Amino acid sequence: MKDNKIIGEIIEVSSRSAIAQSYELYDCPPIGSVVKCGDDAEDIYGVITNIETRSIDPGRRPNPKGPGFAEVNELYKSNPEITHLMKTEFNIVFLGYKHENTTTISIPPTPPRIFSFISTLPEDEMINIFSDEGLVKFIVNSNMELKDDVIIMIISKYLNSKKTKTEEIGSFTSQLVGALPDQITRITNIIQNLNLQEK
Amino acid sequence: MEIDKTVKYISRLAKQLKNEDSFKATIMKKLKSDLESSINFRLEDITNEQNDEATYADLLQVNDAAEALVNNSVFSTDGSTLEADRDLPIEFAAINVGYVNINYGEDPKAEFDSALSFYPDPKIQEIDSRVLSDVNSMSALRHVMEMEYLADKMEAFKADTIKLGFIDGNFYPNFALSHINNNTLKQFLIKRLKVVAEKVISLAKNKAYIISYNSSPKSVHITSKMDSKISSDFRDSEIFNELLEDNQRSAVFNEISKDTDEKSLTPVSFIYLNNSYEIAKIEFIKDTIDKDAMGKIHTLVQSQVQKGNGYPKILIESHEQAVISQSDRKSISILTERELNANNLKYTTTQKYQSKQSRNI
Repeated sequence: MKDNKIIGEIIEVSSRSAIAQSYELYDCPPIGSVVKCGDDAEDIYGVITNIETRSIDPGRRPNPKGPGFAEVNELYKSNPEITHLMKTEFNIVFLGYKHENTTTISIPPTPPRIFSFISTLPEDEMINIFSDEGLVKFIVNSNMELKDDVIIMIISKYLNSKKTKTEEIGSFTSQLVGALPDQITRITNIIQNLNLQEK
Repeated sequence: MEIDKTVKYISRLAKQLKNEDSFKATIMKKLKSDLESSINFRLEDITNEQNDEATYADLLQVNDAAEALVNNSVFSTDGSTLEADRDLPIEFAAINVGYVNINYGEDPKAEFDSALSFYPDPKIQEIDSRVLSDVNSMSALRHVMEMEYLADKMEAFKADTIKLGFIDGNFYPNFALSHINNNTLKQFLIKRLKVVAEKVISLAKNKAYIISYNSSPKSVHITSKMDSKISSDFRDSEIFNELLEDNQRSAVFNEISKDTDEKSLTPVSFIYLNNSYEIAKIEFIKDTIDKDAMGKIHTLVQSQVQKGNGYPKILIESHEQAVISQSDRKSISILTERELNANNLKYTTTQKYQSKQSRNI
């Protein structure tokens, strides 16, 4: 997915989180991705914690289209209307905001407006957010769904954008120890489950 | 309401229906042999595909669908009416026509669209405020708009594949037209139907066919002309349910027009088909679909019925696209109130309406 690409709009919002709908079915970055909720006044950053795809009409539940298809793609080709009748929504938990070129890890003072654009984050902005040592603590103390899974995915995603990872793993481990005192098993579980790829 | 009384009444009706069904089943058992024994019996005012007077021999004809078509495009429109509310201080009606196109095959895609119109419309003098609350007038107008929208969209769609447009119900809104008392409006709608019929004929020359699809129709075109010993209050669908196997269709029939306003419309032909869920009636403008094209259309209809689990998928989706939901209706009511208040107009409904809303004891 291209950086800075506008992928959808906020359709429900509160102080801590938002629900957004993507323009295209399934066109949503994976869980753990940091996105920008662009408002004209300031940039607000959030992490995707949940993705849902369902009928656009709550009164019409999808019925299975098969049997008779060997592949799911074949099923979609045989029913081209599906993409018009379903929608993908995703939950975003706010992590921070940028005001006058300063990034702060916190919930934004005011949430973004409804219909604010959601865009993917350029790498330099992602590095800027991750360099803030308060980020891990903020996530750990938040009440987001699938908290540890999101931490694993968010750290993996960041580390996979770097050429060398050893130093950063050490840094994140320290941050986790600070954020989760006396929870060695949990920290070990997070570190062991990082999905790191060689560059 | 006295539920006990209602239950007894419905129970009596059910028993009556059971007796009728048993009687019909006896006749149906020997239907085929009865028809075969009077094969030359003529069906008055009904002609067959060769324009000869139809006989029982035509009823016994069955046809199968053509082979599956990989590349095809189906279209449909359906409409929904927001009737004028006489309790509101401003009187208006709205018609929403939903449109869906689905293309199957090498380039699968779909298009969803809708068109909303409000009445009275200063450009259409024939639809005045008296028409707005007349169900038949609005129903006929909606049907005309559905046909026009469908024909226009299909005309604009460029593809070499076979194109099939579906209209829900009958091809023409005959019932509604015949119940319109305002002759100016009636003639206005008939004129528009004649124009759209010309467009349908022209489309058919380019492999773009428009048909109407009627699910389990109550029509008696055929049975009303049969020997009363055989037909005895049957619907056409009941006869063809016996004569057609799953996925078979009947021969093409035409009904000879009576001299009424709505019969001056370009004539339509019809077939019945057993789609393996029920009997459906398909109508189309006479001579726009030959036997070869009908075989292909039959295949496309069957495919749509399979996709829709018993009813053409394209009609299901155009209906959904058209519906003016209860929440839409409520929103319109709130908007009306807001606009009236914004213009410093006192918003008052009738006392009857207000009493129904409060329902105080």
